[in-house]
This record gives sequence, C-alpha cells and structure tokens, in this order.
Amino acid sequence: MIRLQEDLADELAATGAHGVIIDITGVEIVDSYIGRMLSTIGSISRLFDAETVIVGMRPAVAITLTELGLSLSGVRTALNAEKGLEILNGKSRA
Amino acid sequence: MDGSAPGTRMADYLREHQDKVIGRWTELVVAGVRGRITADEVRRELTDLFSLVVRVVSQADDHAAGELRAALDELSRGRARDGFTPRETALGVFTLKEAVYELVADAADMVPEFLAFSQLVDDLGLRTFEAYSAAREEIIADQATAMLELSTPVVRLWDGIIAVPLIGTLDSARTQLVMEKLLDELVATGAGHAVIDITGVPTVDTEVAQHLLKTVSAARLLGAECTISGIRPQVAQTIVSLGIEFGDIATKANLADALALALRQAGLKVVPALWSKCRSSRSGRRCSSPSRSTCRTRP
Repeated sequence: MIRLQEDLADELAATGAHGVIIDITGVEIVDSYIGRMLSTIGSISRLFDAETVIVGMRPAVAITLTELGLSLSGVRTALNAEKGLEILNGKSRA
Repeated sequence: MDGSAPGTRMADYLREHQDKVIGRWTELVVAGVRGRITADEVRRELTDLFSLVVRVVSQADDHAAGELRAALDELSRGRARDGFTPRETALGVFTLKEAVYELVADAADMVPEFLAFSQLVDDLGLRTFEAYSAAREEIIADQATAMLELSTPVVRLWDGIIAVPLIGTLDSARTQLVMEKLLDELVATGAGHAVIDITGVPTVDTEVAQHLLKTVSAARLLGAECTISGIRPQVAQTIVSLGIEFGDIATKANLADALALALRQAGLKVVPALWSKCRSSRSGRRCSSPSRSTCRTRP
C-alpha cells in the first residue's frame, strides 16, 4: 500500500491528472489498515486537485468496512469503472 | 413369586394385568387430550409403549431401553408438531404411574417394586419433555429460516433503481441478510439507487436505526445512493424523541416520493403520455408541451 501511495503521488505530480480511479474488484479481504490507506490516498490526491473514485467494491468488503466504522470520507465510490469515469467526467465538466 | 429380581416381579405383574393397565392408561390420556385424538389411536400408541416398558422393567434385553427412548421421542415429536401442550404430552407418560398405582394399591407387598417403576416412569416423562421441547425448537428454527427467506425481497423499481420493502421487526440477523442481499443486488444489476422502504416495520428503536444506517453506508461504499422511505408518523416521532440522526441520508414519507427522488437523481423525468395531453387540450385545458413525449421516462 505504501508503494502504491508513493507511486500514485509521483504519477500525479508528473502528469497533473485530475482523477484517480482505484479498482478494488480483486480485493476480497480488507482490514482497518487498508480502509485507512484508501482514505489517505484520497487525501493525497486531493492535494494534487485530483478526485479519487473507488470502484468495484465487493459487498462483503463494504460490509466489513461498515462494521469497522469506516465510511471512507473524502473518497467517492462507484459500482464499476464506467460509472467511476462518469463521476470524474461530470466533475471536470462542472 | 421370585423375590430376588424385583424388576422381573413387576414385569410379570404388568404382563398379567396388561389389558387392565392399558385400558385405564388410555382412559386417562384420552381425558387429558380432550378428544383431539381418538381412543383407538391412543390405545394403539400406548400398547406399543407398554410392551416396551414391560421389556425394560423385566431387564430381559439390552435393546429395550433404546427402543423405548426412540419410541417416546417419536411420540413426543409428533405431539409437538400437532400442537399439543407440554402438559398433555407429559401426561401421556405420567398417567401410566396412576394406572398402575390403582392396581398396586391393593397389594402392599408391591411397594418397593412400584417405587422403582415410578422412578422409571419419571425418567421417561422427563425424556418426553426433552424431546418435546427439542421438536418445538426445531419448528421455531424452521419457521425463522422460512421467514428470513420470505421477508427480504429486493425488487427492481426502474432501470438502475431497486427497492427493499422491509416488513416486520428488524433484528441483527435480518438486517445482516437484508444488507447482503441489497448489496449483492446492487452489484448484480449495477443499480445506482436503492430505496429502503420501512412501511412494514412496526417500531424503530436505536438498534434498528443503527442497522439502517449501516446498510446505507455500506451501499454508499459501493457507490449507490440510498433513500429511506415509508416513515410513518409514529415512527417519525419515535426517531426524533430518541434523538436518532439520519444525517445526510434522504428520507421520504412514501415509496412514490422516494422513487421520484431517485428518478430525479438519475436524471430521468416522468412526463404525461401524448394521448392524455391531447385529451386535456381538447377539454379546454392548457397543453403544456407540443413535443413528441410518450409514456416513458427520458433523459
């Protein structure tokens, strides 16, 4: 996760991207650490004026995060990458 | 008579008076169940039981005790499923004591044997009760499962809008199931909006509210927006007096309003069909739009 965070920050700085989509379809198990890291990534991206959208969360993962009391504030969520892009596009148009 | 084996003596005694004991026993049981099963049926059941009891008392073979227990379990389960009370079920065994005692009362030398026999019957009675309550619990568990399955439908209201009409009291187990089904359905259909309708939920306390909030925030994590609808006046009063905050979760009085909100959020609009407009313009009212509107939603 630390690697991801660093790579993402470098990439954002290099490209000046305005949106980040994190696809977690393949994530089956989460813990509070990962939940917090996702929020942190959102905060980092916001510093680069980029919005983060987490897509493809599995129901079990959502239930776990809720039970852990994490609502991923500051991060948008979408059902799939397509909808995530819609959110980002809507944002850039507005 | 053989004094060295009291069990054998009692067994002989019972065998000797079999018809009398079974007759009296049947009478007592039939009186206890108040005509819900016929005397013939009771007699048949009791005759089987009696022969097993005699075999146990005589201590002749080792399998008798197991067979008797199995037969009793079967009988008690049947009684439980047919809706007999525990008292009626247990009396079916305990009255054997009475039936035998009425015979033994005259013979003073049978007292020690009767005491042992009485203990056996007490054991059987307890066994009956255990089997009865186990059967009852099975029934309750079955019903609970059936109810859980029945009570959590997820329906599709519109393309991209699903609804969960909740009916009955919400507890943790049910909410968990509702949450899982709702989330699975959100992922399966790709719906962006979910309406949780609580019209059928009789009471909303802090626990239920907590469950609802959890469901909504889990749905949000998936990227779907949730609306809670069907809040009845009493429920609204309870929620406020308990100080429950639904925060930024949209709540609506009824399902129709929630659907309207979801349609609006999805960028859809319901417009009157063309024919109804023409009719309204014919009847002299203002025809609002000349467009090619049809009876469907459009972006």
